[in-house]
Amino acid sequence: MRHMDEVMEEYNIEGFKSDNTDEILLTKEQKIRILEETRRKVAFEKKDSKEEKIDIVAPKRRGRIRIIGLVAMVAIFIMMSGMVMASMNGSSIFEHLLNGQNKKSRDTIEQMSTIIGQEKRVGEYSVTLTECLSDDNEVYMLFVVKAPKNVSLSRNQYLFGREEIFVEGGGAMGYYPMMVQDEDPNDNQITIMYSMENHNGITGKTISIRLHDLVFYNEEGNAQTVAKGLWEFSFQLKKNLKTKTYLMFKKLRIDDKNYYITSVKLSPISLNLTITQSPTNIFRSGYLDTSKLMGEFEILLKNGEKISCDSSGAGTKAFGYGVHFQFSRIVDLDQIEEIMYQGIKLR
Amino acid sequence: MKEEELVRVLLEDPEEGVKEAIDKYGDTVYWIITKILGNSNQMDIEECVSDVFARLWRGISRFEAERGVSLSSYIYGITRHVALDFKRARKELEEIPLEENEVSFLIDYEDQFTKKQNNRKIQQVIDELSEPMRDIFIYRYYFRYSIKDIACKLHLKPKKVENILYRGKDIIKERLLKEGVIL
Repeated sequence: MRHMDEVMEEYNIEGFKSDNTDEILLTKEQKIRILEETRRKVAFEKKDSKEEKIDIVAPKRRGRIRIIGLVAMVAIFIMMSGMVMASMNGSSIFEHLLNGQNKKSRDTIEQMSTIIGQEKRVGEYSVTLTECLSDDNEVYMLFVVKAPKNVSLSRNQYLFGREEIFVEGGGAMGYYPMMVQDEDPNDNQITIMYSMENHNGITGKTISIRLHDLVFYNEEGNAQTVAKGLWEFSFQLKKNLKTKTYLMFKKLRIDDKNYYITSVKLSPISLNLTITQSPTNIFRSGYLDTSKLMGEFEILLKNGEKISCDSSGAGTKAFGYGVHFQFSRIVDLDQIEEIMYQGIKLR
Repeated sequence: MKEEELVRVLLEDPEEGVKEAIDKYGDTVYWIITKILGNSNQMDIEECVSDVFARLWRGISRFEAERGVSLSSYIYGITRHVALDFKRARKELEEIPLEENEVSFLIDYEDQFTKKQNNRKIQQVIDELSEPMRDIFIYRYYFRYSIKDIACKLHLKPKKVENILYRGKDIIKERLLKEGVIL
């Protein structure tokens, strides 16, 4: 051991931590989410080594990354070609992701989808932005990456090394990539999906994306470059009529302080809350730890079924917070009986 | 649950063990990642936390074989690596200049006994450093903060931070040798 940072490698930080007052305690919901994500990652490896067959699994890297098993789609994938293939593949992926099992769900997915079909080539690698699915706060974008014919993209954790996403008009946002698993892992093609949420609203806006370098992750989790390059895309989202906005003024009490839910934006794929806090409170005690806003969310349907969220995010904005919940399946808005958030009935 | 018991559960029923480990060490893991990544978004931090526990799940048999460190140190070591790798991937990790990072002696980590002895001595020597030297060392070489960020955090001038780091390395070396660190 020759370097100072290596000397510190085995240092147990607990003593230093107890001398500091900035400890953060994980909430029960966070612990559940982390355990679930850990399970997915480990399950993914088991599947990879053919020990266990599962449907949704996760490689490692930033953001939430999932792989979606698409057993039923193989036939479509092989039979179709060109833009039609991309379109069919995209809708099928969205149906799979959002459990679009009945006709109404599939129709909703179709109404919220936009076929884009932009292909960009750098050297011998092409990336095609085939399709997106969006509401006013959330967009899923599908990118098909094609290597030269003699190259097999057979690793299981391909992603882009870095990405930059811009939304017209800006706004706080978060995004994560997912790799979509196809049934022919030895061919020269893979699909990567990005999910992005923006608190300011994105309907009808232009999205610009810059994807840098295709990489894969080895077993140690280190990135190795497959193709260097920059693939750039820009497209306009269609105006989405599926998002409904409800204005309200409901008191939310966290850590003995008052917050107010002032608006709810609801669509078949997500829910967005605007929560405000009085400027005096912010100046006095600062912003709330946003993880406290991300739990205890549930939708109850008229048939008694409960819908949970697939992932959630929260961020600060001027004198308040934006909270986003991404549904685990497509929701028929007409069938919602009630929406509960932190013990408060929103609808 | 005591550490030995938790290791046993991790080996026999990894899923249950990881659940317990998240309960027991999750707060500190989250705190270390937040310290290293700074104001990253919540999802990135949670992603790193789950990476840590996935690595623990997969690597627990290796930990058993390399018992020279405590389970908490092992987990926090993984945490630090995961967070630094994440930061490096985002091209936000500033590498420490070689001449600053270099120590003029080689600490032996070959066998378990030596590793355990040396770890204990390193821990003791760092913990016994006076303030702000201890904090500066931890921020610089554990959390990998830049000199400028340390200066800002501890309300010191960057030059002073540099001087303390320079002096501190000699003090650490001297004390480690005095404590009988195995070279």
